[in-house]
Amino acid sequence: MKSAHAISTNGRWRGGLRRAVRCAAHALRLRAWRRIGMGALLCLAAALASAQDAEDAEDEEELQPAKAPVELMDREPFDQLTLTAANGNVVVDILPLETPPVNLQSTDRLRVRLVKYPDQEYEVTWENVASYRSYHQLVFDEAQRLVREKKYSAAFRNFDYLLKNTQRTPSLNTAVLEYLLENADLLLSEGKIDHALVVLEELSQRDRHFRSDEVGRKLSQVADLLINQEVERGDYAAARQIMASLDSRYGADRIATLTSWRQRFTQEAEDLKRQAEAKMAADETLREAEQLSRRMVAIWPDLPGAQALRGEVVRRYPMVIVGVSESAGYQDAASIESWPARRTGRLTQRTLLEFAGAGPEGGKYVCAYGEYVQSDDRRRLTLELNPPAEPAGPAALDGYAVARRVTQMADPRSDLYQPAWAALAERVCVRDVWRVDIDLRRPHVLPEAMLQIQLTTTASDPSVMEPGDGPFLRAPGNGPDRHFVAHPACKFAYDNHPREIVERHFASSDEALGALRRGDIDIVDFLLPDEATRLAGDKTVRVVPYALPTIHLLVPNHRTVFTSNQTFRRALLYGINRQAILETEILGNQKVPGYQVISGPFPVGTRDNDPLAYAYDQRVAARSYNPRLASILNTLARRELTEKADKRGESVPPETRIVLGFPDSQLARITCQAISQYLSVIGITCELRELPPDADAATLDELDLVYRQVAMWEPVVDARRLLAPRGVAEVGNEYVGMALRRLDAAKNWREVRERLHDLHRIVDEQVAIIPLWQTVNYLVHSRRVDGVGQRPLTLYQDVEQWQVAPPDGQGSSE
Amino acid sequence: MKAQSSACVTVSGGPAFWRLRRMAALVAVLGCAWAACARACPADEADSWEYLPYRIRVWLAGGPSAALTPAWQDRIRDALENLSPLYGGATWRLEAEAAPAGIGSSIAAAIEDLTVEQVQSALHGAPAREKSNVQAQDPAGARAPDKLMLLGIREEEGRFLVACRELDWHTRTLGPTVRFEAWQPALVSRVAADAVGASFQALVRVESSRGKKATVRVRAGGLVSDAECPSAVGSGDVLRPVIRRNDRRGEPKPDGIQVLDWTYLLVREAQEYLLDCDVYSAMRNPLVGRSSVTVERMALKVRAGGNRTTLQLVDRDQPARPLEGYEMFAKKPIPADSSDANPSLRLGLTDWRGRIDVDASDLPLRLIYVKNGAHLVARIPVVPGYQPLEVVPLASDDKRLEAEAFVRGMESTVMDLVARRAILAARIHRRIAEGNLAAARQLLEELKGFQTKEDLEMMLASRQAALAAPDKRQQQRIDQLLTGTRSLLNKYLNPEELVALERAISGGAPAPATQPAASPEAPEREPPSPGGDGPDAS
Repeated sequence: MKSAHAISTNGRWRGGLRRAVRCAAHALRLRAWRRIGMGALLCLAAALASAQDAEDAEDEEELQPAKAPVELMDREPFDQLTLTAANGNVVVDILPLETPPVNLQSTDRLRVRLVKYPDQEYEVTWENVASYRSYHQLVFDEAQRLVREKKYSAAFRNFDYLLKNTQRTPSLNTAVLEYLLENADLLLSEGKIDHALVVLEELSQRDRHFRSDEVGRKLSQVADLLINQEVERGDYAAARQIMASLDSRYGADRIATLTSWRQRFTQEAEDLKRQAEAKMAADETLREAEQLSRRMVAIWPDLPGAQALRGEVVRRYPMVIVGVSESAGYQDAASIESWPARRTGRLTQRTLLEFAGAGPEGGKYVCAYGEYVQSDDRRRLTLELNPPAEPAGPAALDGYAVARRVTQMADPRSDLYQPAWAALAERVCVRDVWRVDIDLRRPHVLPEAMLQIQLTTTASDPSVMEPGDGPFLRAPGNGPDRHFVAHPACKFAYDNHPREIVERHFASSDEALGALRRGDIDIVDFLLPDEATRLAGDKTVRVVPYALPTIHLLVPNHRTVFTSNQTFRRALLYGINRQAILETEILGNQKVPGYQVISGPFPVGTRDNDPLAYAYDQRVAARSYNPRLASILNTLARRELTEKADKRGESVPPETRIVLGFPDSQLARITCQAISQYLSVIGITCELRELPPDADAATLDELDLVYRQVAMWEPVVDARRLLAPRGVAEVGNEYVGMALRRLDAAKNWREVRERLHDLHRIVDEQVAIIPLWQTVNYLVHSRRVDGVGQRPLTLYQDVEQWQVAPPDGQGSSE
Repeated sequence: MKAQSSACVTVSGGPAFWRLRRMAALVAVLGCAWAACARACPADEADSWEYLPYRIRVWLAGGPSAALTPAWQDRIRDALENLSPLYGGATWRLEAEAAPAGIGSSIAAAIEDLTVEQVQSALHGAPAREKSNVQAQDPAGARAPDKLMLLGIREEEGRFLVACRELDWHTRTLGPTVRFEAWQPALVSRVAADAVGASFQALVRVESSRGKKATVRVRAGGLVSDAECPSAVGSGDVLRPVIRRNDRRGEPKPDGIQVLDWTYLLVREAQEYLLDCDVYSAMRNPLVGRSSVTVERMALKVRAGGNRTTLQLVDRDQPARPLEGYEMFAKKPIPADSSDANPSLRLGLTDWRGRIDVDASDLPLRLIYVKNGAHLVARIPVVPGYQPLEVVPLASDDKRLEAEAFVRGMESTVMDLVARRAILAARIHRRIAEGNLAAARQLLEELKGFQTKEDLEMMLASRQAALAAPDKRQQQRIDQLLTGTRSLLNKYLNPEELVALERAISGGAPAPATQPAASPEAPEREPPSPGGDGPDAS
């Protein structure tokens, strides 16, 4: 229940919990079965099915509503007579009288119908009646009682009914105002400040003069608390909005605190302005000036001269702050398993060949240092490198450097050794300094895909741009932000290119978007699809989809007790309701094209005949959620493991507990929490562990499962990078290895597709990885940043083309 | 001779002079003892194998270098003869001479590439050596030593590289090359002697062999006084067997020398010069029979010079094609009757060249298991460090692995399918028992949507065509795998179950249970087979 609560507090758990909890008891029952001699799978399956059916029946009974006493407000209106003491003080509910009894004599008779027996009319002499209360009176009396008992929420219904259905008598009005004031008091004492403000506003609207001093004091107190709350959160824009709103409605005269806050903000902004102006004097402190002026504008943009100063700072030191959901622990422009590493890798590195997008036959690649061509027989790759434009200019990449690098990749003694490349490359030859011929042992459809390699740089002087250097340099910074400053030797397309890019981590996209709206940041790197849809109509920002989807996987550790067992991995696959998690937790019950549960380690594409989907075998269906089968497989896996352990004289842990690691991103957190819930249903305790951005191998080795988001954009080479024993998933499975070797040996695209489909099938059969789904990803940026592109592959793909406009400038349309 | 040796040592001079002088005195004493022993044990006493010392001839060849003058080489040869008792004691009779002109340069420059035939022809063509003390006692030994040590010395960038390789004349077998280096010229003689000692491989004769056991007799074993002696063979040592087939003259027949590949003898117990050995081989019974005049079974002591051997697996039919992705495990060669645990240690997978490194462990011999998928392809005994690279030709098992992958996948599919069917069948029975026939029918429709036995059989048949192996044995294994899968389908996917469920729904009564009852105490049962012979078969 604890983790279920955690999910609900995220606001993203939209279903399935009840079912999960219902099945948990059933899973507990299963544990008792583990002792039985259950060699017969069928016996277990039948028993499980019967038990599950019994569970279902019990649940149906549970669904019947319990009978609770009916509240006054839920009953049909009725009047009430209380008889005299001589008649036992009996209280009788009667159907409402058309005319209320007024000035009756003691001998007058009253004709009534009891609520219990509405068809029967009774007569009662007025002398026997102690009191008569109409339904409205009953409701009013109950409201008063509830207020006395401080049950304000319940009292609201009564007052609401009375206000809508009766004449507003002064006593009712007073009662309502008293109720509102008392309610506001309570809410304030409970810390529900915004609720208290709403109640006080309601009170003021009803009667502006009702205890005006007291109401004014409370309003001022509420305003103070609310503004302070926003200031503590750093959301000055929200604070200003509250101030403006209260000022327009009540005026600073009535809410004294507004003046003091205004003075405080102005003072803070003025201080910052002075500091920023001082920092502006020197080029070295422009970064500080940027940060100070940004903060100044955020606090009090109306400060005289603030916008001009901010504009000047931005002109002199354009800085872009990017909100990210996952911080980059390292930079690798060709990483497939780390989105932040790939993103920031583009800032600091240029690889020999770069992936530029999906083409009809594999990816399209560009070489930042020249051109390349593959021979017709696919056995030679020729690189024509650009000589330096001017003799005194920056050093150009020459053929010898490339030859050295690709030779190192084939040398088992080198740290840069890549077995797949060593098996492919036969000979490297440099001609005329700038031309490199790489002969291959066998034809390969995309040898260039294997040359997305970093070029080792030797420059000790950061002002010199060596081949392999990216347009930005990592820079030290205070706090958790990651700073990248423009390389002094890099040629950017525009003068107002970013001088510095700062990446700031946000725990949730809501927080990041809030910061974007406030102007604290300029870009949010990664959005959930429902947020992207919501923001699409916002004119102040631009939502941009990334060009290619990513796939999401759980990577099992093939060395730990449980996840090394294939039956157990199948249990995990059947036990996670991937479709439900995707639809409810991630998509928010929307239909978004491109989001799809997958059956293998390859992208399924985002449209019909998407060339990116060349590796995906549509015949391999994604396994559907089947908790019963998952429970059986879990039990069988334990049996297999116990047998194996017994042979070795070892033992299997009594509890099936696994550790699931995930990166520090909202999407991963939501997904893994949901997965943990589903696994608990089938009797698997899943401990969640958030991974640091630079998690090392030892940390990963302690985990049973790791959540990964993979940019599998070139399956013909990325398959090995993911699935090989030294790959991301470190799959040592012999059948997967065989399929990879067959893939390596493919000579043409027909063979490549066939063998990738075989690989897909084998990975599915062996559950080498646990595929989750494919997602299409979005970024959103402020319009003051221009040049991000229509559909970039990664955020900084075109960073050399970026322009940063001053705060009041309008970004040109792309 | 002793004077020369002393002079040589003196040249090196320095503070070690007195220590070396004492050593020279020791050499003289040992030399006398050796000569006395030699007189006591005449060389032509062929029937006393264990008292027959090795006749060793060293061929010294110097590379092109101003430092390696003929005179210096003479001094090295003299030093070798003088130092030999320090190494071999009474078991060695060593003489050193300049390598014949026809082979000298090869010894100095390319000792690894030498062949037995080259050495043999050089030996036959070499002029008889002038009288020496060894020759005086054993004139026949001038042309046919027991061991011919090929010793090459060359100078490279100021250091002296010494390489030595043994040719065991009886087995016509070249041993691995031993390499040492010396920076000081004065130490070259000593380093050369070390190289000769390190390259020496003791010889044993296989007296008997039965199954995985063999008994061997050590050459000159009776003369060994020290376990450190290169001629000594003791418990824990590893031997490499060689079979020599002789003609009528007692000479090896053409191609009569057979070094038994992937076969080693591990000495378990030594009783003086008779040793009990375990035979470890990749082949069956490689050493069956006794040694005789025409077929001699010998073995050479294996002395690993390094700590690692790289194994390279290649396709037996296409040796240029490496076998990649084969999994290797290592075990210790413990005796069969030992109760010690002997877990296998995973070494890894062969790389794209078919290679994997095997490092030395606490025992000199390691048993390497080669697996491909679930199939054990070979069991190979290896002495890590004995050879830097050993090529292992094996029949490619890739097609069988492909079949195995398919079969394993199919098994998982069948297992899941059977479980899902059983779950649904049980639910249908329950609905029928409750009288909820509509729900039962709905579940039956769901059940009908599952893959059927026919679907899977079709998949199996279509795959079978693509799994044709060129090798007959491999094809048999593939067929066996596929047959197993077929029987799995027949056993667990009974189409009659659906019919029975339909009947049960139509009849509105619970169908006879085709699955075992759910009970924690239920014994293990298997589902009935369709064509079965049990009462539940219907």
